[in-house]
Order: sequence, then C-alpha cells, then structure tokens
Amino acid sequence: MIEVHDIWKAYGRKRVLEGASFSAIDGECVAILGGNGSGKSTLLSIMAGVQKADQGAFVVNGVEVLGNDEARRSMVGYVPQGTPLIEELTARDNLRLWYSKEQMERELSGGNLSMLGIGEFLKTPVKALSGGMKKRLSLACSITGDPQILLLDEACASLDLVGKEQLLEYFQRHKARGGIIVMATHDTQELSICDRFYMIRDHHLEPYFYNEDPRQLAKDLEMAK
Amino acid sequence: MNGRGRWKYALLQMKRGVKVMPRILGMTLVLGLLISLFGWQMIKSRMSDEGNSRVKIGVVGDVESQLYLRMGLYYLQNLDESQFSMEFIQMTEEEAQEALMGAKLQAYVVIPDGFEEAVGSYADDKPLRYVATEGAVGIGSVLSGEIADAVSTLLSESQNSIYGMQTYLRERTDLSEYELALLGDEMIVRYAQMAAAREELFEIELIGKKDELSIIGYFIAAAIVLFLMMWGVCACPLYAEAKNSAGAGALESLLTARGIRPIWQVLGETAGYLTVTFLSVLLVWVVLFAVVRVAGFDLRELGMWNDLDFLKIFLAMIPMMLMFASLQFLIIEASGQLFGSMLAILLGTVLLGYLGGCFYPISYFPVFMQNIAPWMPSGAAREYFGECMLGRFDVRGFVYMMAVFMLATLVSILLRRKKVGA
Repeated sequence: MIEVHDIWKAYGRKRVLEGASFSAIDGECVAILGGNGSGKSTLLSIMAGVQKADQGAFVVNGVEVLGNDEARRSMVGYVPQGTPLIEELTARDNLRLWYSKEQMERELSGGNLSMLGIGEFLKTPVKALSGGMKKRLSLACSITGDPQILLLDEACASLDLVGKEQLLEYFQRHKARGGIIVMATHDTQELSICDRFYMIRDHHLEPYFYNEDPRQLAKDLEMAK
Repeated sequence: MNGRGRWKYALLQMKRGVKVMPRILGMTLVLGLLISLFGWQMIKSRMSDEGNSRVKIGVVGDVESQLYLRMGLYYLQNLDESQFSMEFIQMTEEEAQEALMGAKLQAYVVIPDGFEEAVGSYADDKPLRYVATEGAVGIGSVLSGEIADAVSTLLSESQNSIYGMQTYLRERTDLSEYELALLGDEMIVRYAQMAAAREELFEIELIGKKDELSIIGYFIAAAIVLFLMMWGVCACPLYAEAKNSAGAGALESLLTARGIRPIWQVLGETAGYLTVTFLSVLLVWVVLFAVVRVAGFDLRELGMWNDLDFLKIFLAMIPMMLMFASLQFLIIEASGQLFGSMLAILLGTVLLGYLGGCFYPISYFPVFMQNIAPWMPSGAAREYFGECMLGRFDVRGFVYMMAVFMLATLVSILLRRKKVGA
C-alpha cells in the first residue's frame, strides 16, 4: 500500500502543488489527470526522488521513503516522460547500465525482460528501434529489481495502438501480481486500466469521477487549466 | 547502484564517444580544411594590396649623404619585386630598438658610417647590421628571400645601366668601339670587384627574448589550439541533439532517481567527451609525427625532440583538452539546442582564436591586446603549448587551464541540477 500525504511544491513564487494527498492499495492503478503544466510530472518526480518536496510524505508499506533513497529505490520504479536511452548504443549496452550481467540473464530467461520481448532486439542500436521497442526498452531500464510500485509519466505517449496494447498488457500483469501503478496521463487507452482517478485543479489534487467519456474528460481538463 | 552505477555511466559515455568519433573527426577535418582555404585566400588577397602587409624595416644611419645607398633604398622601395612587401623607415637606433621591442618593426638595419667609402675602396668592408628578435627569425628568412629577389633585379638592372652608359657614350663621344668595349669591361669588373670584395654584406644581430618559437612553431601551436576549439562545433551533435530530442531530460531524470546525481552525470558525460577528444588529437598527433619523421619536415623546434618527447608533448596537451572540453560542454549544457550550441562555439572559436593570437602572431598586435591574450583560454593554451614545444613547463598556463576546467565543470553541474530540479 502507498500513501502520499500533503505534498507541497513551489518553484520560487510559482506554486505547483498544494497539499497533494492520495493512496493506493496492492493491485490498484491510480491515474493522475491534469492539463499541461499542472504538476502531474512534478508529483511523480517527487515520489521518484528526482525532485525534493517542500513538505509532505510518501509512505510505502509503512516506510517513509522521501529522503530514504535506498528504501525508495528498491520499492519504486520510475518511467519518466520520453525515452531515457543512449541512442548510439545497443539495447544491451543501455540495459547494462541498470542491470548486472547475472540479473540481465535471469530476466531475459523468464523475467520482466522476457515479458517485454527485449530479447528480440538486444544487439540493435537504439536509434534503429521503432517507437514501441524504445518504450519497452525504457520500461525495462526503469524496473530493475522488479519494484512493486511503478510511477509512469505518459508511458504510452507517441505509441501506436499495437505498441500501447503491448505495454498495457504488461501493466495489467503487474497489477495482477499485486503491484501498484501511479500513472500521469490523459490518454483514454491508458485510463482503461486505471481503478481510481485524481485531477489536479488549481494546484490541488482532487478525486475525479471518470465516466469513460473522452469529451467530458477533455472539457474537465480544459476547466482545470 | 550508486558507486558502480556512476562508473558504468561514465564507461558507457566513453563507449558512445568512441562510436561517434570517426564522424566527428571527419567533420572537424573538413571544417578545418575549409577554414584554412578561406583564410589562405584572404591572406593572399590582402598581401597583393599595397601598404596592407608590408614588412616594416627600420633604417638607422646616415643615408642622405650617401648617394648610392640612397639610390639603392630608393630602388628597393620602388621595384616591383619589393615595393609591396617592404617599407623602409628612417629612424635613430634608440627609436628603432623601441619600435622593434614594441612590435612596430620586424627588424632594422644599421648602416655604419663610411659604408659607401668602404664599398668604393673594396679593400675594407664595414658590414650592415641587421637586428631582429629571435621570434622573428622566420620572418627574417622570408625577408631575406624578398631582398634577394630585389637585389638580383637590382644587379641585372645595374648591368643594363652599364650597357646604357656605353650606348650614351657611343652617341655623344668620339670613343671607338674598342675603347667603349674596354670601358664597359672595366665598369663590369669594378662592379664585380665591389661585390666580391665585401666579405660580409651584413651581420645578423638578434636581440630581445631568447628561445622563442620560430614562426612555423608558433603556428603549429596555434593550429593545435584552433583544432581543439573547432572540435566542439562538430562534437555538438553528440550531446546537444540528444538534449533536444523527445528523450530530453528523461535520461537525466531516471539517472537521478536511481542515485546517479547531476554531478556524476556531468562528470560521466565529460569523460565521454574527453575520450573522443583525446583519441582524435592522438590520431592527428600520430599523423604529424609521421610527417615529421618520414617526410623530414623541417621545423626548428623539432630538432630538439626525440621520439619520447613527441609522446611527452602529447600528454602535456591533456590540460588543454580538459579546458576546451569543459568550456564546450558548458555551452552545450547552457544552450540545450543543437544550432545554438554550434553557433556559440563557432563564434567563440573565431573570437578567441583572434584574441589569443592564433590567426596572426600576437606580436603584431597592439600592446594592450598582447597583455589580454594570456588571459584568454586560447592565448593561455597557445603559450602553454609553445613552451611545451621548447621543452619547458608553463606552470601559470597549467594552473589557469585547470582552474577554467574546474570552474566550467562546476557551472555545468549547477545547470544540470537546475534542469533536473534536484
């Protein structure tokens, strides 16, 4: 289980988050919605330890992990927006940054890397990979150690339908194994696997009722700006 | 992850650098060739302009009362072979020394009293004294070539004047052909005796700073500095484009989340950048070594080097690589854009190259610019490398370059922290 308590963040005088709080239980997927620049990515990056909150707490299975990098890294996997890959190197080289040799062999022969189909293009330079392959590889780089909690920042952005389906299938399996997913998105296909929804309005995180109507969602996002 | 992760990241960046090195090196050499050709064309066109590139030579001594000397200088000032390359300025020896040390003259000639009488008596000789700074020795050889061309023309025109005199005498006197021929021979013989009697036409006196680089040595040092600066223009895509792509910031964010903080990211990427620079400069240095040893390219300073010295001097270039790599990295980090970074580095190369004396010898510039040059990264590196070529270690230059490297790296780290939000 995770609990986010009262996260505040400002960049100088510019307020971003004011008292953001939510929780999630094992096997649940939480969606964080909001317009561009609303603070979705900031919230995830604080939870991932990339940025520091001005105040607040992030508790995982009863352990406060903000400021406790070792505990956080073993329990939380972060998939940032974009592709965190070195384009000139092969997929294998990129994975070697995050996995030891033994870990990689283990994961390729039945673990996460095998589930994501990474073995197909291990020796290919990243710049020669398709968008879908890059996204799968990015995800693979972020989930070393098979963390229970995944923080996904628009994980399926710029993917075609097939690419999205492949990733969403992996996320469903992660949930089924008791994993927790927190995803920042406004993609309706990604929202289809989410169980609870929150929207950032005027720097505040509020529960949101999503009725699977994309037009209503678009209107609400517009109003939230 | 932390400790091993930092090393892994640095090694991956170095591996990435090696992969793209051939492309960057090729682009740099092409760019360097284009700039050299452009610069050569500009220099050629400037040298044909009157008064633009004339070598200034001081003349010390009493020229006015010595007819033939005055005529000789007049010829040199006006012959096609020399009028566009040399300018003679009359002055006292004190003025000449001051102008020489202040780089207003390339050299001066001292004409001793009684020079013409000595020439006319050809039993005694008083040589001209040619005074230059050691650093202008290279110019002296160019100058000597110019003077030799002018003098040979003078000699042939003197011969023409002897024949002209014969024609004049034939038309206006009653001398027979036999007498005219005897007269002509006598004039030629006396002329030849005057030249042959002079054991020494001039002696060279070198004053000023000893053990300076020759002109060619100076420009080799300058070329190495320019190469290191231009390198950044072609290495930009290695970093700037990656920052501008869809993945911009994603890798930095993930690295930070996994414990590889901005300081280790910047140091790792700098290590990659340096690896590429190091290998490329090594390749260029090996080619230079081959040219010198195999082709027997003559460079005064190289006479002092053995094969081990070539290696030592290459290793001495490492502080220069550190400094320029860190400055280029900083520009790329600050700009974050491909074309912005390339333009900034290109303009910086031209400006710093000029201010640091990499395009023209710094001694040609006004004193205040000569004082600024050692404080420019380009000037400091050029001087440092010049000292290395002479077998000396420039402590001041070394300290300067390491300080710039550390400062530039620190600023890059701060910029990265701000970007990531860490």
